[in-house]
Amino acid sequence: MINCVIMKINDKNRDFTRRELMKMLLAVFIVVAISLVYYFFMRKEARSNAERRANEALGTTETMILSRLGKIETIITTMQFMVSYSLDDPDEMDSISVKAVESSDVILGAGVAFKENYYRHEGRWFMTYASYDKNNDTIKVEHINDEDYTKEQWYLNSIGGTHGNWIDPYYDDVDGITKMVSYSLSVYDEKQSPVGVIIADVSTRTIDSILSCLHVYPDSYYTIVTASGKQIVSPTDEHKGKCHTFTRAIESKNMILSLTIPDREMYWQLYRSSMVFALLGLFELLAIVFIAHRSVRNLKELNEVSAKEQRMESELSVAREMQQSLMPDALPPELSANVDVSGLLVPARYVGGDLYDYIMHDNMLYFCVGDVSGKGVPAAMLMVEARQMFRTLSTRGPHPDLIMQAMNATASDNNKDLMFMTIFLGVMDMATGKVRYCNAGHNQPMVIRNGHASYLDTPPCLLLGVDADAKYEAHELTLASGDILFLYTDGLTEAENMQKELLGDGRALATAEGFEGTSAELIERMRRLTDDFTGQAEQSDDFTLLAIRFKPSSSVLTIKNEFEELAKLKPFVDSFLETNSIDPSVEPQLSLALDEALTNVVMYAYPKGQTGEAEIAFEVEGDNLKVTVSDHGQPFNPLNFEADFSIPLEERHKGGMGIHIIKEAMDAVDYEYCDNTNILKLTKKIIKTK
Amino acid sequence: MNINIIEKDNTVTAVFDGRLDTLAAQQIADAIEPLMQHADQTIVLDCEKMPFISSSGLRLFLKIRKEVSEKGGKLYLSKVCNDVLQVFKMTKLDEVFEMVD
Repeated sequence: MINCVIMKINDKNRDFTRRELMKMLLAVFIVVAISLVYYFFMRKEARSNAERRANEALGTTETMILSRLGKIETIITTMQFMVSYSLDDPDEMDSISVKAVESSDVILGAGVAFKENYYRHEGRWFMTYASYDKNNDTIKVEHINDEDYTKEQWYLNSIGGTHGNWIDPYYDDVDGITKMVSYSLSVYDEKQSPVGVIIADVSTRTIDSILSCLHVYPDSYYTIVTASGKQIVSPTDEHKGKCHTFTRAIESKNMILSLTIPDREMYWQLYRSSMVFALLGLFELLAIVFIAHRSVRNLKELNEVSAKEQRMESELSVAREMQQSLMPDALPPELSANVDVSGLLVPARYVGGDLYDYIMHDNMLYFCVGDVSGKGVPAAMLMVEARQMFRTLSTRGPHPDLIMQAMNATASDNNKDLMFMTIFLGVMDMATGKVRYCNAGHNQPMVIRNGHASYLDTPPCLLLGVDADAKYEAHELTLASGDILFLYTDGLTEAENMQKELLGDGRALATAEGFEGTSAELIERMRRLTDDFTGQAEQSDDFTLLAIRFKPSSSVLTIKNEFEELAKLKPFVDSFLETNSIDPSVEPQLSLALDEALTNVVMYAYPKGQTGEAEIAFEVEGDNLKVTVSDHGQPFNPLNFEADFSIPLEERHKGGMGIHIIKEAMDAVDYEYCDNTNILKLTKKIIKTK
Repeated sequence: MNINIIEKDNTVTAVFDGRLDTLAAQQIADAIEPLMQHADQTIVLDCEKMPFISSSGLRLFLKIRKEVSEKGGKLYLSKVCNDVLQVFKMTKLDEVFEMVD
């Protein structure tokens, strides 16, 4: 039964844990999914935002580049016009070139290159080139005659063309540092035939300066590449890592402008908010997990605790059941004629092991009250064993000391669990009230005599279970009529109240003092004392009381005017005869006479339907037993109704047989009516057995 | 008190088990009805397990006896114990009933 309960709980635990885990996984999944969706949209938003900003920036930059380059183109176009105008005078070319260089600080050099043999006197090739000399801040002019520049790309690209060309950048021959880009434009004579090409070398600084002041993102940078893929402007510090590049073609200039934005900058905001969001999510998850874990653990602990408790509880309830099953039944009426016994056992929740029992054998009342020092099933087992021994050994004779020794031997034998038992065991002679008792370390019982209570003061013996060879000594006590022997366990004297005070022997004694009544009334009084004393405090130990009142004078029986009540007569007669050591051979006649007498009372004393009583009292007078049957019904003298047995049966009156039987069974029968009472007096000779 | 009625070979035997006091006599009043219906046959009242009888019990026996004598049957009391026999003697009914072992 216990194992089964635990297994169920374990199964529940497993199910529970699995369910909780699934819930947590679902929570994690939801948080992650929300984060992903959020991230996706944020990223899209960030990208379109970046695109918009990049395009705006590219547009602005393009405009500024076009404007800047346009200025240079204008200068060169002016130069073209001047060259065309001055074709007749080759010397003029120097000053035109110088003027071009002077007109803009980004034009580092400008010149005119004529086609082969255009000025025959100047040689096969003629080119004038003015350039800024950084060293002495002057403009120098050089003539090139010995170099075939007509094969150069800038020349070939532009000669005969209608518009100028920007050509791939290169580094300055002189310093090798300054990056330059060239613009070339064809020159025509008045017949509109191409005669040469104007070239201007422009420092890329002009564009750099524009680009460097147009930062979309702190680390974003521009690149300008020519159609052939050469970089005009390259970043000073190219970004390593993932980047996003937006481009725009400046078609009129054969250039591609691009803006490169490092990934981390473009999505900086996204990353930042994602980071915050992720941290929050993580925190949230951790919180969920933490809380879930805590609650799961708490529930688990709770389950474990409750499983443990349940196990303990079921063990305790088994023990309690065992304990309860040991309680003796009330003595049957035929055995309780001379004694009035009441017991009470209130088991405590956790500590237990009390026992009380009584049994009647050969007109001897065997009784005991014990307390096993243990709890749960083992204590209950010892209790069962002790009780069994008590019951078995009781049949062997009225020797409490021998019973105790045998019980001790059993309790001491192989006492691995170190369980001990205090027990008070007594045997009372129902006829005389003589009690032989033996006390194994148990609380001293109380004797209440004529309203005066006192504790027994005989020295107790060793408690059971310590020493198998211990000797147990019996003592004697004789109870007089009405005396009560009151036994209890420490559940009474050590009952605790809220202030942790003990009830104590004194309070118990004081409560018993002056008591006169039945055993049940004494038990009730002691129970109430304890309840009032402990108040709200939890009962800490089993609470056991046993009261035995000797009442040998109990020779009076009262019955109601019902036929069923007649069943009490024989037990009453038996008991009285036994108690008073009267030879039981008179029992059939006594029972017969009483049956007849009381049948008359039931049938005739009271009007039909009216409840009444009859009292039967026995009294021994020497060799005679005097029986008085009295009732308060209508005056009725049965002696007047005796049948006449001298005439044949068929002629007799109906009835009258009962009183005849009474007279036959008894030695004397008298009737009187006084104080509204029918009194039938029967006398029967008896023989005393002792 | 229990009463057990056995029919065998034209003989009806009623076994009385327990004390036949006033209360019991009232309680078994109906249980002896089958005996009344066989009152023309031989009826044996087995008293071996009946330790006690009161006047009410005696009346019950007398009632059976009356019915049997009216209908022409025979009535025997068997194995009556001493205590019970004393009661019959008190009332001289030991002369009225035929006792067998």
